[in-house]
Amino acid sequence: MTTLEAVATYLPATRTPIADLAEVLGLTPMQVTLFDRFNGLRDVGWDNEASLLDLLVAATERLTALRGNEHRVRYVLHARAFAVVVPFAHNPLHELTHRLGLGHAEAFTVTQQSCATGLLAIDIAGRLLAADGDSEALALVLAGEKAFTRDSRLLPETSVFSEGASACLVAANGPRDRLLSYASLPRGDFDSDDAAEVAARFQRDYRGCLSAVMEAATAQAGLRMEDITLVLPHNVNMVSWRRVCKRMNFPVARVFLDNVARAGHVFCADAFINYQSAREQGMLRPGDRYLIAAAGAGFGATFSAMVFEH
Amino acid sequence: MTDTEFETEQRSRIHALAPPAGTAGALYLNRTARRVFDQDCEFLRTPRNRSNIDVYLTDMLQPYDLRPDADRLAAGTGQSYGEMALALIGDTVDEPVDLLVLAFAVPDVWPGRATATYLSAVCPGQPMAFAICDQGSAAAFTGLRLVREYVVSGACRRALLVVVEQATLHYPSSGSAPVPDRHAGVALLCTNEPGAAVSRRWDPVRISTAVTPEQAPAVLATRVAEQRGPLTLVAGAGLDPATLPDTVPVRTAPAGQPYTGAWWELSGMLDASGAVMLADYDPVLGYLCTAYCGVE
Repeated sequence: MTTLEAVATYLPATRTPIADLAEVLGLTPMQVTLFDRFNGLRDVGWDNEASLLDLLVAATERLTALRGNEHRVRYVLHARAFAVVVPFAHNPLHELTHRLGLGHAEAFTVTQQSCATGLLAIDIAGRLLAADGDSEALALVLAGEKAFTRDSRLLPETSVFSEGASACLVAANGPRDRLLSYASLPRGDFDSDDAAEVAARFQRDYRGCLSAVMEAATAQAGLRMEDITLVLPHNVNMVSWRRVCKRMNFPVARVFLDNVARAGHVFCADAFINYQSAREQGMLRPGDRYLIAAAGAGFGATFSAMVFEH
Repeated sequence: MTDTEFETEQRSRIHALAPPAGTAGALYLNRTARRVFDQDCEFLRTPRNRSNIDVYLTDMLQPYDLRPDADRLAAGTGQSYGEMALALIGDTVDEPVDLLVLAFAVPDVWPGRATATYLSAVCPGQPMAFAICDQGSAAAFTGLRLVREYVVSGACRRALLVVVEQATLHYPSSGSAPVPDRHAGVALLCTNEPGAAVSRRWDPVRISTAVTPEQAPAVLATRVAEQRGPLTLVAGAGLDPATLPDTVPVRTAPAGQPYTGAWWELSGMLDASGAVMLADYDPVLGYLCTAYCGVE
């Protein structure tokens, strides 16, 4: 049974008001206002001095459970929304493994489910570990990216990406945070030359797709939504979660939205950032069943949900 | 369509998986296809697309003091993994598949696209789909390994592995990792039960890490020796032909296909071959990978 052993995250200390980035992002004053008032996004964390490697190193340095357990790490997975983020053949992931003393581990990037790739990486890590049958073995799942270009900075009318990173140790049979189910809904039909048509269709279908995948993950776990004590969302914005909750008749108070404004939408790392915050705030009690939800959009979209028992 | 009707339709597309709970089956190689793509892609024929790629590459290269090659980009050279994989899907898939894994080392000419997700919409079965990269020639072996784990654990029944490489970078290459000479791709349709005339079953993929070039021949020789019965060794471009075992018949990958070569050769020899061991070595990243496909 796949379990989460430990999670650490890094967020840049400096926040930049979205209003100050209006020209870079190509936003009108009205769009800046809408991001603030409706989407709950006032600023972003962009660390202009840090490389992708720096972000990942910062997260792993905070992962104290890794110290002394490097020899147990068999896999290192970078869950990334964007497949191509450095010139060929630069390889920050393998630079990181050598820096951390993990040169013995198999390291690869899993990608192309946009920001839903983080949940996929947990599922993959669990399957690799289960197949090996070594109860001591661990996988290190990393997430985090640079907002380096237009496509990785802005989801029009939806969100502005923030930088940051997460590092999560996954085990095949650990004592806490057992994975109960994983559901994924690919919508590759959102990949089209007609951006306006896709945007309209995405806005129309978004709530229904996310609701359906959350309910599917819950049902796969043998549960109902009322059994879910907490939803850890992707931090895309506030308004979409209120609408999803309304559609599902699920109390928005049980969706952890504190980090939408505080951390912003940090690519695939949202799930781990929210998990860490929820634990620090005592919002997860032993036996709680909680759900992590993610939606990745860009060219195509993937909606995903996982149910865990804390 | 009502909300309920919409969600019912979406539910039919959802892949809901339980966590892995042991292995319950085997993985068989059902069908393969291979293609060289002599033409450049359709995608870069559109000026707007070339302009968007120029913006993406300019921003990506700036921290490395590099600039896009304007002439090469204006000429529209290079291939799109979406277009290549679409053709390979047409060659291999005639029934719904549950999982599609795209493996590559060299970046696509459309770097920001979630190509695997796009492919899920054009592949029969609307499979769960993702890509593996940043692992050199080992990415394809990891892709096969993941296909195997999802199938033998019962999460999927039919899966397609697509291994692709395209030969154009729109900026100067750095490092010693090879760039292909041509655009090429191979697709492997794998299933949980034998479906072809000859039943070919995959053993677990084996990936050794931190293997030096000096160690690679001995590691490979050991892998070959461990396998009982006759086999043909299919050696990828990362293995030095002079150091390959002389105890078994050997077929080597075609020149200029550093990431698809072994898979290309496998695809071309299946009709006439017995057991096969696929092998490749990535000297830059130190991975030595083998995959044994036996005949039952």
